[in-house]
Amino acid sequence: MRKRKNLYFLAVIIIFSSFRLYAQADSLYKKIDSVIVFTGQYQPKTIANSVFRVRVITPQNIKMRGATDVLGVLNTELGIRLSTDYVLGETDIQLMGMSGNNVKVLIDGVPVIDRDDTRQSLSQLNINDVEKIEIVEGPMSVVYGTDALAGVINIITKKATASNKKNWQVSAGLLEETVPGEYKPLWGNGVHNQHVRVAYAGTKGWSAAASYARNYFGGWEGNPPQDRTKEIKPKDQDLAGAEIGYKKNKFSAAYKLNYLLEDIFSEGKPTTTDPVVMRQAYITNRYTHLAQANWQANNKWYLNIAASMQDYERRTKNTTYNTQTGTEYLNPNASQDISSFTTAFVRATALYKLNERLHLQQGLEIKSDKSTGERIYTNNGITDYAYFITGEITPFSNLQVRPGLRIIKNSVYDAPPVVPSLNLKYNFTNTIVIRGAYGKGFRAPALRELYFTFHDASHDIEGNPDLKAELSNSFSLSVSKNQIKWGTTTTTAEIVGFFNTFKNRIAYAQDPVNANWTTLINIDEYKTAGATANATFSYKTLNATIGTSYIGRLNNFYQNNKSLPQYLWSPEINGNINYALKKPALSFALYYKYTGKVPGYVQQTVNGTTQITQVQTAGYNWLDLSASKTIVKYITITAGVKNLLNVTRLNNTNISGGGAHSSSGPVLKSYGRSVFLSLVFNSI
Amino acid sequence: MRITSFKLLLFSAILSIVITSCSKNDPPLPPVEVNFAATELGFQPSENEISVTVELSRADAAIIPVTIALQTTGVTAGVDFTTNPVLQTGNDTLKLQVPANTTTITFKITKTSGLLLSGAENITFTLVNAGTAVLGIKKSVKVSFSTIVSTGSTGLVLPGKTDASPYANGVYIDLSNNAAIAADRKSWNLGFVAGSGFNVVLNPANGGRAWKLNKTDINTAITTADTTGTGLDFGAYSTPLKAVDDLTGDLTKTVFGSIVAEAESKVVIYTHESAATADDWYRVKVSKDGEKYKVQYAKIKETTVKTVTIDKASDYNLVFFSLENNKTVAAEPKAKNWDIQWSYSTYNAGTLAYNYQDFILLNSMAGAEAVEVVKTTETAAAAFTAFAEADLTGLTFLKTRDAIGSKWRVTSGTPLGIRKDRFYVVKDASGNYYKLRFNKMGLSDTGERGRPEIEYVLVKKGN
Repeated sequence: MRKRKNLYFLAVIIIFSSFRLYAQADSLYKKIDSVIVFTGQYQPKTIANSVFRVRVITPQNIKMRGATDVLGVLNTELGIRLSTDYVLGETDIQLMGMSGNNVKVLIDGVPVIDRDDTRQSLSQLNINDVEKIEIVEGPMSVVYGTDALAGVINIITKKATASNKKNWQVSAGLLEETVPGEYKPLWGNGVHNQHVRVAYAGTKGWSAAASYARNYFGGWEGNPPQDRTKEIKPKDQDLAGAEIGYKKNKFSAAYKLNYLLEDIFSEGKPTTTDPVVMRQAYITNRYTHLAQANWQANNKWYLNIAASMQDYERRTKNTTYNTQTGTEYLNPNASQDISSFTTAFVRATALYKLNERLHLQQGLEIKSDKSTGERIYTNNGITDYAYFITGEITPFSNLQVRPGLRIIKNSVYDAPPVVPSLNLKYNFTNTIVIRGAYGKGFRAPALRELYFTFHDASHDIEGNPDLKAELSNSFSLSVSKNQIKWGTTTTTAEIVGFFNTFKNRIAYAQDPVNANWTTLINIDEYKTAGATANATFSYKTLNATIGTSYIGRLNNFYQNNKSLPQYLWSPEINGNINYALKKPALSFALYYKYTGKVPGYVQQTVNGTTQITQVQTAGYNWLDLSASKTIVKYITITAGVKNLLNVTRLNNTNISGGGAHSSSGPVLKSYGRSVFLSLVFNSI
Repeated sequence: MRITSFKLLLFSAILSIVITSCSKNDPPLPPVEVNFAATELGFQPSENEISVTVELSRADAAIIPVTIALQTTGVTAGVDFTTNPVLQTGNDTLKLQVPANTTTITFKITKTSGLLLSGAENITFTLVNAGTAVLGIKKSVKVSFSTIVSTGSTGLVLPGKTDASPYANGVYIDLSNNAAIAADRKSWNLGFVAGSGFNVVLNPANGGRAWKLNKTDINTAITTADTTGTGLDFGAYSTPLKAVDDLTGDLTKTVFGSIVAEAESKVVIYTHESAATADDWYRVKVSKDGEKYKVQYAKIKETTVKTVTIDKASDYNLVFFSLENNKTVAAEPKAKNWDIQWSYSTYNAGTLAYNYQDFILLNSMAGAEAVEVVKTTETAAAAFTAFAEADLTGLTFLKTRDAIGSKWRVTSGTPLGIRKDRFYVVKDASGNYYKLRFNKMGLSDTGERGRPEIEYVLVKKGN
């Protein structure tokens, strides 16, 4: 094993040292400042002019990652942490110290439905249809409504546009990735993904595209192998998409349908006494319809309407399978639940450009959610009506002020009546920009929190229809210095500080009616604070970024015990290097992230005495390397190593073992080092 | 034109994907299998009636008709015994109907009082037909008119689950009689030692917790000052071990302690799983009253104190009392008529008393003993099959209530479910040795949670 590790290093060093840096006048990479961003903007804007701090993950970075889903692109981003529930086969995201239910996921600016707290949507999108990803930290609740407390992840999809005077664009590809010790090429264990996309852009304004992807992951047995089922469950996804667009003069409209079929399955192992094993599958069917229209009525009025219908159905299928006879039956002793979630969404905005100094945007949003299933009481759904108004005021050319206000009415719970925000951007000099932001954020109680009911041998949980919204106040300040030039090197640097307070956080607690049951109440106060710093360097075809963050989450035990630290701090460092060679045309990428140890405190009662003990989950270093080459005109091959340092399980010092719900022992982070190879054909 | 054909292509492509995804049909439900719960049963010496249970492998939406043939040895139907429901004309057939959505049906045999028996009399019932359902392995049951010592049973289902909850009942298992008797686990609060000695136990299956105060006066209401720091106010999930009885069943280490005369007896605060707030707690004083127990109790804020006297009952381990219903209740079978109990139970979670499901209590009070035999996952099944009387030598049997406890399964963590590397040997109060293993529990296996299945085989018959 050790020998193998050394070999990898050696190979990497040889690859890097065998090519001389090739001086190249027109960089493959645009200047970082001129990247166009969409999130939160009235109209697409350059990143340097945006009043919000927007982080962009570029198409080049997505390509070089060999990622199978959006999470695989985000995992080395600063302030983002992923945690996986291996029982459900789902991964949740944490952004700036806040868990997934405080992160809003958007596709082209339209919110995507998720089952509950976990953001499944990030792993249920076709990564091959993603053009780029934008991340805005801090609340965006005025424009995007509920859940946008920690921030927004906006996934910008590929559009069918004519380029190089070609109407048709065809791309197809496959990705193979190993799983340590268990990989079988093309079928069986490992990752085997294929995708195809056809796009057409006509001359009369019509465009259309269709895509299909199949993502197969064969699961991971575990090390040592598990007695019964695979430690990481196999997953099979079919993703289909179709879109149609029309553009003429100052009007454009597009409709898009994404379909997902996901099957996360597991199977027991037969014993000598019983050939019949249990099979379980979580089958998700998801339809996402998106429609958007833009119309510039005149020089002053710009209208936009976005509508979406989403159906999310998750079936839990339990069967018994006789490994000797091959007969399979539905398991009458286990759930065959079908949980369904539907959302209808419409948002209309009108932008009014009074003059160069004042732009006003007003919007109306209606969102209606329904849910049925075994674990939810019959309900009438929930509908949210909101009006928002924001303004972009430019009193002087170097100052931008953006106040905003959202007014909400909800059919079920008492929504916070008014949600304000204020963003400032001040160009201290041409290259030094100061941004300040205050925002009130909120998270509406989800249907599953209001009407939840779940009773089985291990759970007695009831929802609470009297829940209120979670509220937050967020403050952030950033200073960025752009375009520091040393000869041919361009550098940018940025430093950010933030502070968030949360109240009415919805948390599980003992049911006041039945002491053995659990319910949800608005109880927790929570705070996060932190600082991040990052810098980018650009020298000819070499682009590098380096960043660090130090984020603290409130220690829940601090309130009753002031001798403990108030915040639990955890550091991160990340770095990316992209380098392109002209001859031979080769690009290299390195993605590195150090995730610091996560401290925590747990309460234990020893012989009637309550004591608070410090615990921690170990930190780790994550490193991905990849190289990409266009081998013939239309075909690009990308190969790389993921998790080169072979991170598997993270040590956890929580040793309150013995209890039925204590979590002790190492935390599984990854199955370890893997190698991937992707082959992409693109007609452009 | 070009667009139209393209759109057509596009939609047909999507349609074909949608169609393929829908074509994965579900397999059917398994056929309903009908079995007798046990293959041998026997009348208890003092009883004239016995219940025979027919089980379905799963509930069905339709009524299942069951036809049973019977063959008698040494007894005559209608003369020496009757059945309920009654036999068909000819006295050789019994017809039952299992109602829709249920999994069991029982019929009763009553022997004529004063019947003189030689010991060899029996009836064999055989399943003949069950409509659309199929007949299982346990097709017949031999009911003896005298007590039996079962040679063992496979797939004995413990009916812990009700519609209300997967762990509503405690199930008492009598291995030698193939019996699994369910009783509401929350039906009682305090158990009074029925044989020799004066002791009171809390109901572990009801999360019973108590705290002895240093006061003898039951008549004044309990104040907040009395309950603060008692260890009960931590809630059901973090009760110190001091608030529950000794986990091994040692009667000298109960919360109530040794029961003494009224003048010295201390007041105890009692609570249990369903008591939501402190207002539902009880103050209880138990004292020795000759050969009886005197119980005085009230809710902690009530002014009127109730008083009851509890008599001993020699056939039983304990006499059960419900504070909530103000009466003694029947819970456990007679002391000799059960060996192990499956239930919900308070047990040790490191340093706290935690409520465990699928907990096995041994009838150590009546003298049952048990030992765990640990092999490996690969070898345990063969070792169980091979285990014989000679293998008893060298085993150290435990006489503690928690001898089996929660050791047989993992409900949180991996590998989840029954531990396949071990089995147990239980010695009942009559000296019969049974090897026993758990086959299903509804966690990582095809069984149903709350209806575990056990298998046991007689290794050595008692004297």
